[in-house]
Amino acid sequence: MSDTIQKLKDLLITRLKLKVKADGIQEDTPLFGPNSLGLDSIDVLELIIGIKKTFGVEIPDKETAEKIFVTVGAIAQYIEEKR
Amino acid sequence: MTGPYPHPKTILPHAYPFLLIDRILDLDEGERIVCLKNVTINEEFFQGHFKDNPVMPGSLIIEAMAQTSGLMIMKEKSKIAYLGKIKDAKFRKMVVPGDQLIITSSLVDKFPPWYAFEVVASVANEIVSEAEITLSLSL
Repeated sequence: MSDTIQKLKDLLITRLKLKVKADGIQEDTPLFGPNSLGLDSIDVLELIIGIKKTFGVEIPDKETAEKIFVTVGAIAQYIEEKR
Repeated sequence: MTGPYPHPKTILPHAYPFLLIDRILDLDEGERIVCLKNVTINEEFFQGHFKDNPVMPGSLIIEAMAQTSGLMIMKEKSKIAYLGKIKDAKFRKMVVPGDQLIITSSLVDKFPPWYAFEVVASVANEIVSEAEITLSLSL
């Protein structure tokens, strides 16, 4: 799980060019909204592509995306379940 | 979908002088599209880009890539695809009058309204430019 989280943080920072360090992202840091990583909807597609390439896990629909793209922890949990 | 394919101007809302695609050459619905742009000396932009040294602007190659990609996802003129993101764009060779620009766009993934494409532009089987382009399809 911690390996997945680390890879996810790297993916967020490199693919989305976030101006934060990996240490600055916690498992429960929100992806959207106030005090979050400041992602927007176009970043979601970039994340979906990144997760597919890095972990081989697909996010099949909008409902799943809305459920898991909340925190890094939530995405990591979904990846662990689907791998 | 098999050819002959509709003329780009019947799908895209673009018009002269900004319609940068002449023809759809091949289309695998939802996967891949190949389009042709004949680059001619009488294009408006060659008057100034550059004077006495006509080179197709890289920004317009990107626009042609976006139009190519848009042709895959725009089914009717009421929907417009807007550029959302351009990533890792490279311009390897200059495109000049007389070139036949062949643009191949492959859909990487989608999360409506966002659609991401990997696009390659070639002239005489040599890659002149490549980019990842994300379009937003208006409802």
